[in-house]
Amino acid sequence: MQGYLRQSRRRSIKKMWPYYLMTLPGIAYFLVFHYAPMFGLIIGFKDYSIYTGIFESDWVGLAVFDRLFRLAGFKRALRNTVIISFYKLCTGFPASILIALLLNELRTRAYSKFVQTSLIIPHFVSWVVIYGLLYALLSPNIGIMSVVYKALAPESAVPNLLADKGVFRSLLVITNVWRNAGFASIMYTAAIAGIDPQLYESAQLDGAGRFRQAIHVTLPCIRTTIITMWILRLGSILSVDFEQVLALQNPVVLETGDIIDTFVYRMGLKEAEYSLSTAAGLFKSAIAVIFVVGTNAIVKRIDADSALM
Amino acid sequence: MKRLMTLLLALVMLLGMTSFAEDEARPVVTALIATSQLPAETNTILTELCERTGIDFRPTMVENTSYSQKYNTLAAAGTLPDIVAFSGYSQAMELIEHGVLLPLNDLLEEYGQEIIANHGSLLYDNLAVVDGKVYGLINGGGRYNMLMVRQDWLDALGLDVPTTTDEFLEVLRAFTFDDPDGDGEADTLGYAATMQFMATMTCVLSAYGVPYGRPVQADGQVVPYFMHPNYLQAIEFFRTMYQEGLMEPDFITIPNMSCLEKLWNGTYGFYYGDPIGTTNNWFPGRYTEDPKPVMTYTTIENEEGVGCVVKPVYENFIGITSSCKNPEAAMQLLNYITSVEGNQLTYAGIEGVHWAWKEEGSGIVYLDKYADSTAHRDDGGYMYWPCLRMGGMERQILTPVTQYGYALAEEHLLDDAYIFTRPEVDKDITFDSDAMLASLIVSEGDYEAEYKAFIDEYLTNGGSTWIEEATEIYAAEN
Repeated sequence: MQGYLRQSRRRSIKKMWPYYLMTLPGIAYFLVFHYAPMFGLIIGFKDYSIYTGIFESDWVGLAVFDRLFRLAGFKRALRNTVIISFYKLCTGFPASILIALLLNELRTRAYSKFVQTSLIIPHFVSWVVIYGLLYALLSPNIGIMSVVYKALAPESAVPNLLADKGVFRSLLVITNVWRNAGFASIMYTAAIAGIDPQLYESAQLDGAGRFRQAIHVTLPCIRTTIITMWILRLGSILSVDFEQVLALQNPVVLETGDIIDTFVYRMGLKEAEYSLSTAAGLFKSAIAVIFVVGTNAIVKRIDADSALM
Repeated sequence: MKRLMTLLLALVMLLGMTSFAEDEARPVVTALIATSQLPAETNTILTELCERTGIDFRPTMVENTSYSQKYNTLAAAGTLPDIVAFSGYSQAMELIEHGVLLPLNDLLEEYGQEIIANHGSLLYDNLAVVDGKVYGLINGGGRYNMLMVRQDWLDALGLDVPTTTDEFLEVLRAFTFDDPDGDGEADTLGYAATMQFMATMTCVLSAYGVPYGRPVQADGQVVPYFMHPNYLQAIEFFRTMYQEGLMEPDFITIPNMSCLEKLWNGTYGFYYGDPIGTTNNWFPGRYTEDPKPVMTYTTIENEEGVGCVVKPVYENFIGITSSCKNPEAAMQLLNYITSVEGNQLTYAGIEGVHWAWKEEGSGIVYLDKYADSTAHRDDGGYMYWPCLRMGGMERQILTPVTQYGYALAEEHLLDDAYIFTRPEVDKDITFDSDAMLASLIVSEGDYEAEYKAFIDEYLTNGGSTWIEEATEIYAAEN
């Protein structure tokens, strides 16, 4: 039996070798840029100094993690990360499904394409540019909002929403939905395109209107895609789009807007605390793995076909 | 003909090889330099510097805010350049302890006579000297930030130069609401401020005797500046300015360059910064008003008259790394830059091309397009350690008003409890005092209670230990 399998594999390789060859650059990419750097995680367990190097630095076990969890800045960053991620999950995830459902209801092909493109384009605008747009809108000095505000309430001071710690998380959520929801809806739009039209015809014969069709046909048909995306999204539960937060952040909003990634950036690159930032990054990855594996296990129990592995 | 062509070709190749061989013969010196404006990669002044020294100087220029990031990355990769900058006693000790820096004594004796003559006793008596070994050369320093006030606006409004906090407030209101530029539009503001250049925020603190960034003595202990007994008074003044719209309303988010542009186009009446910029290097080129603004300096003191300017400390150095392949060439380069000729070149450029003396020793005038300091810096002006020479060109070309600013500053220095060594616990403290300052200024709640909460948070998360350690260090160092 084993001999047969070996022979079959050899035959497959011989037949498909161009395809195997084509995978090599991809494999090399992952090895070089994703697996080899994992060696650097050892810094999280060493008293690393940029001058002594990885090998010469003293091994300190979990002391760096102990120090990390005692830092007030990290506790704050962890709390903010979880809260912001939760907000984004509750808004961005359903928003992309909703967009896909609404796009599916548009009957004029040209208009549908126009709307879809308009929703996707913001994804390709960098966060720095988006911050520039926000600044032009919300700055109490030169922003459009200040002009409107002064016209409507000339006596009162124009609020600086960009420097309001109570508003910062909302700004993150709103700009995230504006920038990413349209792009994220592509997966669902593709899934919807694959639904058998006969299912809609049957529903119509049963008297279902557009809303009922969306609820009872479209959504169940794209359930597997939704669950897959959900599991993947939970894998990045502690990733809150570093570039977005860094671009929009300022000293006043640190209390509600400092996240693990910006904390790692500050401690690592600016303060040269590489061990500490590596430990924080490793912690984040460990949480991500736990979420992915845990969610997948739950999904597997409920609906084995929708699980990832 | 064919022979002639072959001969010509051979000649060209030979010449090319000769020039290549010349380049090869030049020792290469690399460096990491921070600047506020990046120059063109190849520029006239850099080329001239290489020509005059016979050194192939290859600096990596980075924005000021990116320097530590770039430095740390290079150090971690083991690819530090030949010449690096460092700051403060703790960093100096760290570099020396890890053998990153070369002791410079022998190199100075052999190749650094200009440096020895110019730096004098300060060469051997500074933070970067250990057991008589010199590890760093003082680079600039001795600078003050001073409060510039628009004299022409004061004259237009019939006001005197303010010197107390009450007068300051009165003038701020007049500058903001009484149309000091006389254009009939509400387009002026009292005070320039941006969190991206914290110096602009420190004037008010200094007026209340709070030296920003420096430890101070309080109740027999050494505490951080934000625990100074007058700190809340300064915050109250800030809040008045903010709430009445007397200062830049966008101070938390406005980029530094935008703030400067507003200074240059005549929006602000007061600006706190180094006079070498405000009334010297930027004047008149960057100011866009016609006629040009008339400026003077003042110091603001509260009723206690406690002083107004944070004491300068020589804490910025440049050193040669132990990985440097040509330490002799690196020292020769630094020595040349310290010389009168080298200082003129790196500060102002090539005489006759970039600048000319008005009268020898009475200031210079930048020529043609180089009157625009952006074009000047793009061509390498003020880039390659222009202040390495003490009392160099910078001091020789000060305008009278800049000289007045510095003289006034020296009479109004603030007391502090400066410590050379960084407390051990400092690296575990993530408290951000700038964030606290900004939050208290814009707070709509009980700012005193918020301040207390901030301080409690600081003390609980390592601040108490910091105070104990800093007090011990201060006692040991004094």
